[in-house]
Amino acid sequence: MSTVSSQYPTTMEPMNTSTEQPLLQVENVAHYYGSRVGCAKVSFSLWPGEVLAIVGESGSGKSTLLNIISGRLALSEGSITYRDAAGQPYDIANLPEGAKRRLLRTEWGFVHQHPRDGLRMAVSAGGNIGERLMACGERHYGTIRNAGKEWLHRVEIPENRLDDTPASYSGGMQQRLQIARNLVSSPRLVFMDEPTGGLDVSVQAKLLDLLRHLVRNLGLAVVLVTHDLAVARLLADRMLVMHQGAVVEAGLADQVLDDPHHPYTQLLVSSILQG
Amino acid sequence: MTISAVPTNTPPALAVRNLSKTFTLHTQGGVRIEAFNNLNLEAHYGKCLVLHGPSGAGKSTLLRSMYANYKPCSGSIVVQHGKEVVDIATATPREILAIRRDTIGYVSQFLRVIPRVSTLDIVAERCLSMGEDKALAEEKAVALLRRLRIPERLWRIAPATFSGGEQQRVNIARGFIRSYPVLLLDEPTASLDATNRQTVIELIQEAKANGCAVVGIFHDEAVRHAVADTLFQVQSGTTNAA
Repeated sequence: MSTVSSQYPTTMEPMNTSTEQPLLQVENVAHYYGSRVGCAKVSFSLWPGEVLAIVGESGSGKSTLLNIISGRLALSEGSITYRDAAGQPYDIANLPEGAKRRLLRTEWGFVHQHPRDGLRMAVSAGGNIGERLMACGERHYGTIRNAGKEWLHRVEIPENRLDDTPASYSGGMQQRLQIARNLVSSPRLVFMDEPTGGLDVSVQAKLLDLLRHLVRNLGLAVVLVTHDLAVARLLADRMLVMHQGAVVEAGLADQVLDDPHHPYTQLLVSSILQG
Repeated sequence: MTISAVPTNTPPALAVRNLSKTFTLHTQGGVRIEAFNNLNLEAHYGKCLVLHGPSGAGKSTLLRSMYANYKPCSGSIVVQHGKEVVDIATATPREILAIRRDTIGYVSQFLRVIPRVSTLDIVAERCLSMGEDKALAEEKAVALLRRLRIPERLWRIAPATFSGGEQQRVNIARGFIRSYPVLLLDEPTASLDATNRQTVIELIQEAKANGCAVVGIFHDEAVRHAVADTLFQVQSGTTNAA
């Protein structure tokens, strides 16, 4: 008994502390476009399995912030730390390009507003999904093809469209394919830029429900940029409200929406049309 | 109505201390509306505390503050969360999410409809989020839906098109499918007929018997009589315990 009890804590403890640490720590980040402020003085932590929505009107700095924290745009100030599954910290601002690319195709995903920015339009749907698996080291054709089939099914695209190119898909299907391509490698953190932006309302509802399911079931951490507060309410645990490049209010999603304190947030919430 | 003396031997499940809340409406000329000021109350395990007062007195604001849906301006809301004691008024979003998952349940007046999700899945969700087996969660959901007289043909349909009373019963089933140490109820019987109201009364009494601390708003006097142990008068501006 005594050997067991002395052994277990030492092997268990590193695991416990790694789950108790935030996945992403953003501290005081800023990006300037020349003398113009893209966004400034933004800090937050994201924990495994948490969905954070960044909301605000166009031009408020939402996408700038998303691009900074996903390593796609250089930092002017501040620091970003990402911890991988083993608890290893990465300083995103000073990460070599190779390591950044490896993160982006294994532990991270990025869902663009326009599917054509995130898909290869001339390659089959199966190829689009398989490419990411191959980038993660998968070489067996049958395994890749089966994963392609399974993911088409999960995002509710008929299996017989596996060999068609996304150019022949509808907008909603393209967006679902982009999501499948991102999730096939089981990322831990997914960035989404207005994932429902260009879709009509009925397709939007379907996609939202799908995203909600996948996020819950896979325990994904998500940073979601949206100008649609209903989308934020449905998907997000927490919310940052941005205005003129700064975060003006932050907190639980339902708290920010139901009891907004900042004048800009109140204006935003009071502008929602009552269905 | 029985008004019991506040038991002093057991620590309260939830305690509100010197709580104040004022809304500032920036978009409407900075008007300030005081919901309540310097309010104190305690909720105990196995008891039902009823918030009472006229419409607009701040009852719902108080209840929503206890769920961290509203942010109070000053004071504390202390809840027993597992082995810890946490102040909801100052807790981090992450702590609040854990409290909502494990400690505090909330049944609002309205069902916030999630498009495309079936009634059965909506009711079973909170069991699944605790890692419970899917078959077992569905079994519990079915039992509750049956008890609340939701016809079986509606179980596989999303509740968006249901009547007001049906939506409210789905909402109640969702809130009662698992036992929380603290349960907040905002007029759960508002649009129900007499038989269903009786079922809700039984559900509340069973929760109390299970040791749940219930805090509720009930405009219906019969319901209030049946479930209340303590009455708390909420009046805009000045407040005092009954």
